[in-house]
Amino acid sequence: MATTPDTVPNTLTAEPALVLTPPDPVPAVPAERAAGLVPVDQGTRTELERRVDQFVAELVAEDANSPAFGKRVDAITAMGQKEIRDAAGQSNRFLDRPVKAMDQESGVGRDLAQLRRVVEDLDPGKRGKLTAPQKLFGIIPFGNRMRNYFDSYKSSQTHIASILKSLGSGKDELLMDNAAIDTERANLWTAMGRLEQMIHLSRTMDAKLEETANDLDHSDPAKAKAIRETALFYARQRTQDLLTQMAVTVQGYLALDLVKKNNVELIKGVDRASTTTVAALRTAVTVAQALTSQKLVLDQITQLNTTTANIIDSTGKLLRQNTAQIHEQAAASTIPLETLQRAFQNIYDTMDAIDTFKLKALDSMKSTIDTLGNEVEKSRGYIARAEGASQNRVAGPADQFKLEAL
Amino acid sequence: MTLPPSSETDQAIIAARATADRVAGRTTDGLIPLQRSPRRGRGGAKARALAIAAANLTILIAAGLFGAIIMPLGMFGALAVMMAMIAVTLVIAFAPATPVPTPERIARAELKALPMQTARWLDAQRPTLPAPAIAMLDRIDQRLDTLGVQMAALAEESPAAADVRRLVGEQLPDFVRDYQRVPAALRATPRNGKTPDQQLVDGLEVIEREIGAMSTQLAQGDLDALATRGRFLEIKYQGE
Repeated sequence: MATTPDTVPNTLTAEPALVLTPPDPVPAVPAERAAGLVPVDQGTRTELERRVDQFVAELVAEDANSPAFGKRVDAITAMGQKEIRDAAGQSNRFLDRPVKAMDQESGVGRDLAQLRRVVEDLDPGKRGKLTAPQKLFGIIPFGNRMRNYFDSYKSSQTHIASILKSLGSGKDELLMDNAAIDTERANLWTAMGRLEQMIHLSRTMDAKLEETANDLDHSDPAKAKAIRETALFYARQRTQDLLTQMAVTVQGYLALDLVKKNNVELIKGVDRASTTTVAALRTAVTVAQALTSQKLVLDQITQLNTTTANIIDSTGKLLRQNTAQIHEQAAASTIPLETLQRAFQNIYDTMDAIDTFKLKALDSMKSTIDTLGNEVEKSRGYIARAEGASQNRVAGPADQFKLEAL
Repeated sequence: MTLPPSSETDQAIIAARATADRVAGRTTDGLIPLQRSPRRGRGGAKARALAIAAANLTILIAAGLFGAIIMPLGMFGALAVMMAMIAVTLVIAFAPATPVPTPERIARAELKALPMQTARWLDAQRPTLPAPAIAMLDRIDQRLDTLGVQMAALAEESPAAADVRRLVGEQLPDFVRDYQRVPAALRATPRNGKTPDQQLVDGLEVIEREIGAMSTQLAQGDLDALATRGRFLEIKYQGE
């Protein structure tokens, strides 16, 4: 880093280290374990079972070769297609978010990089020995290095203020992103609830059809055969489709949580970066007064103090406490410059923590996207089947025996 | 009206009865019949009479104000006002009615105008459809109104637009025309357990439901945006 704080005593200005924990990648959810994550209440279960009973009773009552029998089998084929289609429509958007979150070149990432550049320019450690007298052509004493150094704050304050402001709006964007994720997750939860109902329905259908076919084996073997070869076959196929879609949806749901956690950590980082920057600037103001007895007036920063403190309310308290301590220290101690360097070190530490976090989070995100991408790809075939069935829908009138979630 | 009309007189009576029903709002299922009237375009005699009366009244008031405030009208002024009233009356009375769009034109129509055009075409088909279907048409009409507003914000190339075009622009008119091609005498005769009349109503019901589903689908984005912004305000200013 820019400064080696070996000589700097661990002063009160050293803040507790910022630890940003990257969330773990989302593992693949196997289809057979996907069901049962969203509870279906007992009343709904009973109602679904009643529908299945009625449906199967009506199916058995029809002649196995009649078009009415075929129509009911079609209803099984179409079972849950609406739910699958809805969930699939949302899963197409799953991948957008993690991919967007990985984008380094926009928003908060860019602002932080800019802030780092400005802060490095102001770093007292990079200005050589500030206490040495400044000499024109290296010979004639001229001007005051220290004074020049603090003057450079005045020229950068507008820049810093604008960076902090855009960090603030970047934070708003992250919050907005999280709000959108909450909405999406709420939608997904509903979609999963409906899928869950359909899975229950199609499993009950499977069991009921099997049982009925077994019963009919003696009395009406032809019908038993028809039920096994058409209705039962399709019911099993649909169960598989539904489970596959459920697995993808669950995974997307978890992936969204990952992005959200990621954002929360990033918001913490942004907060801390703003806090440490403002703290360093305040320290500079105090130190300037102690060393050059000039009053360094940073209008933009003073304005920011109030606004930033609002933005970063959680860390604001810490900041206020520290300021008093910095002031005391800078005025009393013999090492005000080290105090300032420590303040800069805090900014660097924060930014390094964010960078490390981003690298690790990127890994998690990448592996999540890969798994999710694979699963979505796998489920495409099933969705296509559901889509194909739905294409025929407008052609025929609505059936009273439509199998849908409640 | 299940019996096929035997003569032109019968047909005229049926048409008149249907019109009377519609005017009285009997078949509209509690919907506001006024919503539909502008669809007819500049066609109805009643609308024309109203327009003529309104235009003439405006001219008279304007002339009265002019005479009272600026300067007296005089004989030529009065003559000019009379000429103007006659001209307006003639123009409104003999203006050509807006042509009802054909299904071919509907299929080529701009996306934004599509629901409106289909609604106008459907409106023109009313006299040829059985009474139970009319109730369905009213519901479809309402759905198309909602859809028309939503279409304004939809891009022509989006997949949703293609879906709407297929359903509203092609499948709906095709379905109604298929029914109309069935000879009137056979429309009430059951075939495979269902009469064509019944099939028409069932099909229209599916279409009505599907247009509603499309509206819901299109509104999804706006609903999400609303929920998201609300949630954002919660997170930001109430801390979760």
